[in-house]
Amino acid sequence: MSGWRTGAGWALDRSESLSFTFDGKTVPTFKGDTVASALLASGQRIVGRSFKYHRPRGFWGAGSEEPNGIADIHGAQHRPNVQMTLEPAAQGLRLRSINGHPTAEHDRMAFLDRFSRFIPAAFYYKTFMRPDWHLFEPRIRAMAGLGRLDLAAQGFGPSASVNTTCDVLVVGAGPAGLAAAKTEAKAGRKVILCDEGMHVGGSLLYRPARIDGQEARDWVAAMVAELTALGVRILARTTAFGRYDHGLTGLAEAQPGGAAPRIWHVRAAETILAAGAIERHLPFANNDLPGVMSAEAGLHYLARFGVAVGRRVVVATTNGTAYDTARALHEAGAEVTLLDLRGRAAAGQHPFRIIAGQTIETALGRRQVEAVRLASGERIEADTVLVSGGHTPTVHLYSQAQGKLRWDEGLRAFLPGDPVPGLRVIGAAVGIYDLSRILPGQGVVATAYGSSTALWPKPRAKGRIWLDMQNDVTTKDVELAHRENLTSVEHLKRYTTLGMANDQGRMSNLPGLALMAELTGRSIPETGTTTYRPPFSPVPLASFAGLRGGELMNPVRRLPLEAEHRVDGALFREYGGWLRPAWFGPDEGAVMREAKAARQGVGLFDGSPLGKIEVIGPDAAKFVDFIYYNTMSTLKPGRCRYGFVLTEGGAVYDDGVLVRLDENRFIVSCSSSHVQGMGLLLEEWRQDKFDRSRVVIHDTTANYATLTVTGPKSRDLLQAIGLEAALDDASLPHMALTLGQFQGDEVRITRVSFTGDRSYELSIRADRALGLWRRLKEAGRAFDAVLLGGEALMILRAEKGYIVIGKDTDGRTRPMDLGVKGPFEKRKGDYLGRRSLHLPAVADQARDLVGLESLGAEPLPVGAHVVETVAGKRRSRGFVTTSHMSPNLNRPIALGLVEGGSARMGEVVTLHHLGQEVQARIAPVCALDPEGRLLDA
Amino acid sequence: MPESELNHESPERTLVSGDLAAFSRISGVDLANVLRIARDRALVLGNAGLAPGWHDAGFALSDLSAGLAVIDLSGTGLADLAARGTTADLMGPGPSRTISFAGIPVVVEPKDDAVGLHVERGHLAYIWTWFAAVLREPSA
Repeated sequence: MSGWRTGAGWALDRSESLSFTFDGKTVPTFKGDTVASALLASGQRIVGRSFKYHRPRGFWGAGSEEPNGIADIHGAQHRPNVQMTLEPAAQGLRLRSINGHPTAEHDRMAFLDRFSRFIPAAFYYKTFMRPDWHLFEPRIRAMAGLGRLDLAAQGFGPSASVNTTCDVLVVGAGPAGLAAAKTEAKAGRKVILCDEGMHVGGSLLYRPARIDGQEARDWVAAMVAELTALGVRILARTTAFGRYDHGLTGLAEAQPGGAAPRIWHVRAAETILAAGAIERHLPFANNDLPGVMSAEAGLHYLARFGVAVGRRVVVATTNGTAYDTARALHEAGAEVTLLDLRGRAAAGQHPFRIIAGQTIETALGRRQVEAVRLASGERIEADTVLVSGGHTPTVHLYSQAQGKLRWDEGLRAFLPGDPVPGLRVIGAAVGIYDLSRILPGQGVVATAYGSSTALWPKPRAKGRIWLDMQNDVTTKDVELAHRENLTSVEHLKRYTTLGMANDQGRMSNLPGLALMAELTGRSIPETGTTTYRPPFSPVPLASFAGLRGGELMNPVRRLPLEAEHRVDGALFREYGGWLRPAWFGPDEGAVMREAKAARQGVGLFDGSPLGKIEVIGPDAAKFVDFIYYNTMSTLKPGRCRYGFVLTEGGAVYDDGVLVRLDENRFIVSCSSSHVQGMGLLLEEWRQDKFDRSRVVIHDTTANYATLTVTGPKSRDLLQAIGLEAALDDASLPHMALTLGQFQGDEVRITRVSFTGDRSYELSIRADRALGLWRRLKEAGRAFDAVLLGGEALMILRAEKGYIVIGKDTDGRTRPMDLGVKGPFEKRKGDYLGRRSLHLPAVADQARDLVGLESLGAEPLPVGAHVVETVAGKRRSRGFVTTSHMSPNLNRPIALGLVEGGSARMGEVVTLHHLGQEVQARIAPVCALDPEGRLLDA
Repeated sequence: MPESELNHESPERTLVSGDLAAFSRISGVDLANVLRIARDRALVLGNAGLAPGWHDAGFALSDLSAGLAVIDLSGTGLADLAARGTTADLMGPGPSRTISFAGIPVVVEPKDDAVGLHVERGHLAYIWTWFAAVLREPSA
């Protein structure tokens, strides 16, 4: 028999009975229970199976130090790897143990423990190597990990993170933290106090004590009331998981209703760490058996939840605190034997048997504790062993803040060393364990910590002695690492995986390095510790994502005329970070109709996302000459020029039209997907290379809608709507600009073409665009105008061989690969990327943009590789970048980047794609109207 | 997002860069009343009364009236909302009024009991959706 309910337990509301299931078994519980306390009360001993050996495991602790009690919650609020000691019991929860199949009680993999000698630490470096490690790797990886993720489950709901500042952040709301918060609040400071527990109070929630004449819990309640009245923000169920630069501390606050824990970014002028200390285990054989628990946890479950963890209890301790546990369990009706490992009993009368100076040699039992055998040979029947091997101060956040730890030989613990600015450590976290010293002058009556001793694991001890419960690391694994000369603490960690599971060595690190210290003849401080890194305890990725999911992740920009396009039946897709019409109509057949109609009459296209970045100033011409691969300073006002902008590595970063408005003002009309990047590029070079007082960069893209009118009837349409501008070809030739008016608003009319047809881009203030657009549509009816979506535009530009950056280019494509060699050969003076174009390594990676004519009736697959067989091996010589069926040519068209392509015109090549091969002929990029007559049609 | 909002007439705003003191002298605009967004850049609320482009006194102007939407935030929940959107202090953002709010750059205009957020108009639907998501959450 094991755990059972007493009539006590202040945290429970016994009027509200609930139930949940664990491994399919119904478990009764009360409101106020944790899952762990309810399972213990129901007598459930085995709550999981260990990672490697599938040994039965029970609860060790009552808080975040718990290594074994982890389960997956299934169903509507699925969460894997939940710590049952911190999880409130709730009606209808469905929990599954980890690593036990089909259940923790009856695990079909339990036989693995019999082969433990063949799978010690780091076995995977030595075994399963032949014939090939990769044959075994998938099966071994499938056995790794703890919980299982249900991919069909909804997942966490989002929680927005919160940014806040305060004067003082207090981490830990035990006695030290509560007192510190009160002191700071009374001094008028803005204080935030956080604690990972459901209730604040720390050890005062279960330890018997009187403070200022009050019972401990009453004192806590009074403190909470006083702190609240002083304006202290108290956050329960909130873990301080990490300390970062500039005084930033990350908190994770548990949320109800399946939402992810909320992240708090707290910037405090001062942080006080009152995070307490973690009780240590003791080294004896089979110390991982279900029923072996922390003495502090034994007291915690009894006082708070009314759960006695056993009926025949052995308490083994190296200090005075476990006497509270022994006394309380005795009073609850358990048969208690206390082993005081310090060599003598604590002063006073004790109603239970005490054995002084005798260590435990081994716990006995197959699936749970049944007895212990002492070093003297005496056997004591027991169903529970509660141990206190001392305490390890919780110094994690201090270390994350680059604090240097110092070893205290008296306490046998690492304590905070030199102060870290903005950080103070108090209470048990600096090794002060006595309540009377934490709360001086407050009339504290509590059990003294007393003297303490340390029992580190010894080399060559008999039996299997566990150090790390989560990764199944024993003392023999540390000895193995020593024999293999992996004696540094960093090697010890990685070779054995000691401390690498999600408890991050809270219980295992110190005894592990103490053993290595003895094996190597060093002291513990000489052996040292590994690096403390956040998070202190696991935080779901969903918490860091916050609200950035679904439509709030990488949000697309919306067009000024989106509502109008929706009325016109547009189907929207994302293009370059904007939500834009792909086509207009009920189905994808509209794409071909739009592309054909635009070439025959006139098409209307919303090109508003096109970049409109102004470069202004007396040095603007000099500036654009540097930015562009092509010479731009010779551009006259009122004219446009197409050009490339390169990266410093010589690759084409963007292409577009530069418009010159006047002597000192240009507009960089960059690709819509590159506006932010180009803006940053321009501003960076402005600041780094030019006189900032003589050139400025203004991104005005959002200020204007750009409406494209394209096709042989485009000029007729513009003349019909009346823009008060001369539109004849002499006044407005191709690649020129003029200013017009529409209903009193200025319209910038630029004659540029992305379709190859006569084409005009009308830029007007975005909030005045609707009227112009509707006028174009209305007047366009007389010219059979068609609304043009993005997909049709892609076909029209592909027919002309016009490139799309990032589709027909990649990170290696140079301007000469696109057939533009002139500036490289002729330009004098520096421009962005010039030096790199001269590097042989850059020249050697040449691939030319060419046209590809399919020899079949179907379009070529985009991404298909042009292949050749060289020395018996198939080698890629390029790939297809663009491919469409052309409604204007009635045949497939394609573009591709091919090595030496420009010298291979007419050659038939083989393309390989997803196991299939097709043939194509290399052709000029422009498939339609190579003379360019349509521009003036 | 109400359809009419996207085509609403926008208040006048002008971007000015360069010698801001010269701009103030020539335009008569008090620099205390502009929104500084960089060392040499400011957003002027209202018409600056000068033509766009370069001015020989050493500054340049561009119209940005239609490029930004402005959202006014006010009420007792403002601090809580702000805490979820930004690390900056909305009422006192510091020398630069450009901050990151809900993951996008905005220009902050502190008012008496409210805060104006000048948001690129293309992001208006996104930030509206963000507000709706945050307002559905319990208070922090």
